[in-house]
Amino acid sequence: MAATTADGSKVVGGGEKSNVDEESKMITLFSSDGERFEVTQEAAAMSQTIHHMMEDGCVDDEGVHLPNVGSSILAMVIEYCNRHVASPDEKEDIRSFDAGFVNVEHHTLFDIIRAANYLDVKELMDLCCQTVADSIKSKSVEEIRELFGIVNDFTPEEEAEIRKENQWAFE
Amino acid sequence: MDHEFSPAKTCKSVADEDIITNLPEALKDKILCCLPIKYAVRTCLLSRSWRYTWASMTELMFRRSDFASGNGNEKDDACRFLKFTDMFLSLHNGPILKFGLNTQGIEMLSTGGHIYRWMLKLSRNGIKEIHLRTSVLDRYKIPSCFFSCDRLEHVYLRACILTRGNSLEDLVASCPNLEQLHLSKLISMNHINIHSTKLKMLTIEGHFQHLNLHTPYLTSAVIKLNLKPDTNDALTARCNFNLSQFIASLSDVENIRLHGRILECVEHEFLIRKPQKLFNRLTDISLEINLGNPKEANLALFLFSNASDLRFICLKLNSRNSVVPPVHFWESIDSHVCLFQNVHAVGMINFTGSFAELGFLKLLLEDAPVLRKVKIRNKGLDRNVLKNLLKMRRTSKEAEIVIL
Repeated sequence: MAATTADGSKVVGGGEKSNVDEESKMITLFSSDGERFEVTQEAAAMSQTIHHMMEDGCVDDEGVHLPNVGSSILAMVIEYCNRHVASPDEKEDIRSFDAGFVNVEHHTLFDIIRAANYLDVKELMDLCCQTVADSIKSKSVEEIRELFGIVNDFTPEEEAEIRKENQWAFE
Repeated sequence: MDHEFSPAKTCKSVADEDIITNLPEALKDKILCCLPIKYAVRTCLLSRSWRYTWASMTELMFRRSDFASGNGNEKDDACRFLKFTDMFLSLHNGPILKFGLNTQGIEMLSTGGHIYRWMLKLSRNGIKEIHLRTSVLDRYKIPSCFFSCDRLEHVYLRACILTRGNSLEDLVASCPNLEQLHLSKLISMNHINIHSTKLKMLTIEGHFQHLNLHTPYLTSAVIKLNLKPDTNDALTARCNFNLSQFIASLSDVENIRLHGRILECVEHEFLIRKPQKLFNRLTDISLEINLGNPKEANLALFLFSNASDLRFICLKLNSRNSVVPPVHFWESIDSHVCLFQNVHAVGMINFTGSFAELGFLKLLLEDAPVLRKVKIRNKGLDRNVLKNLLKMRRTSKEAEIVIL
């Protein structure tokens, strides 16, 4: 039911008419780099940001411009929304889709988090933040720093002081 | 789409530059809130920017089970948990929007004043959502400082006990923004009066003998009444409920769930007046019901006739308070009245193939034009009954009967 374009060079379905096509209820989204994505209104409404724009009548004939979301990330977000809107009752399938979906490099995951935050897609935010948390959970401080590129700017004395200050958390 | 694999330990996934510290505060907060709280605090050692990020977390979940050391020393674990929670809350700085306490240790909530200190802290920090879950062996009364948390929107209490001078009425009155109230494994020795125009979701499950609800704007109503096993009839157990008026007042409700013995407490009188299309938004009904009991069957019929948008029905069947001889209740329903015009899916649990149950099923199958699935969980049905069941006429061509 949903038509998306990965590379944005072709428009599927819509054509030259108004991009909020009443009959198939599609909506056009533009990424920050100008690529064009056709999505069903239902899938787009998973983004509370877009949903409110649609409700308030702020979506003009052109479609919605998303200056904060690049095309590759937007494509992923749309993939997520399409999948979740398609068959919301098939919990097993959705779970395995989600697991595969977040199986990406951390910097991509953070880009998705930022996009999901801007677009206000709660389920996607929850999924990605939990994924990041799970990757932190079992690691030592040094491992976490390595994972995310955090530079340790404590002096050894500072570190010792913090360990004392928060001893109750390390017991 | 390229999904590159980054496994946890084998591949040394070293990031060239810091990709996390510059995330907006709200996102870092969200990530920390997804961690078990012990690990969230340990991020204080990551770098200078991270030293106090944990101390402004807005959603706190304290789980006793996270502090199980595995060496079997319960008291020790309980001590560490208490100390951790005390220290955390005293060093925490900033708004706390959500607080959860999930514990099963003895004395956790009753002695030592811990819960009172914690609630006091929360009441000073704009708390919006509280979850208190303990086991039924450690029942607690609602601390009075709850009543000064005037920004509360969502309260979930498991295994609390309501006694004289400790009332839900006060709680609801002191929290004008309360939208969700969930009480599970409740014991109430008192009157339960809940009056609220803001309340949207209400769950009351447990042992209680009095219920007076005025919450007309609910979207979800869940009531489960547990009685002592040897009680014959809820009415004779001196129960006093305004159940019928309550149900009739819920014009915005989307989901109704009435389980346990609660349906035995419905009065006949209100069913005589039949307003049209009362429940416009009701899509989900779940009842624990004896289809052969005329009182209960009347309530079910009342709900079905007034919920034109009903999609899902779940019936947990029993045969308490059965009438002998069985009445032709469901068979005598006028077939021109379409009761189930939008029903997609129906579940029937503990199906025994009784007269009334078969009568209801027959009516459903003949009436529902868009029915897709009927799931029947049975306790061993006679083969003939099964055969006849599967042969029943179905108006919806796609209706599938699944017998488990």
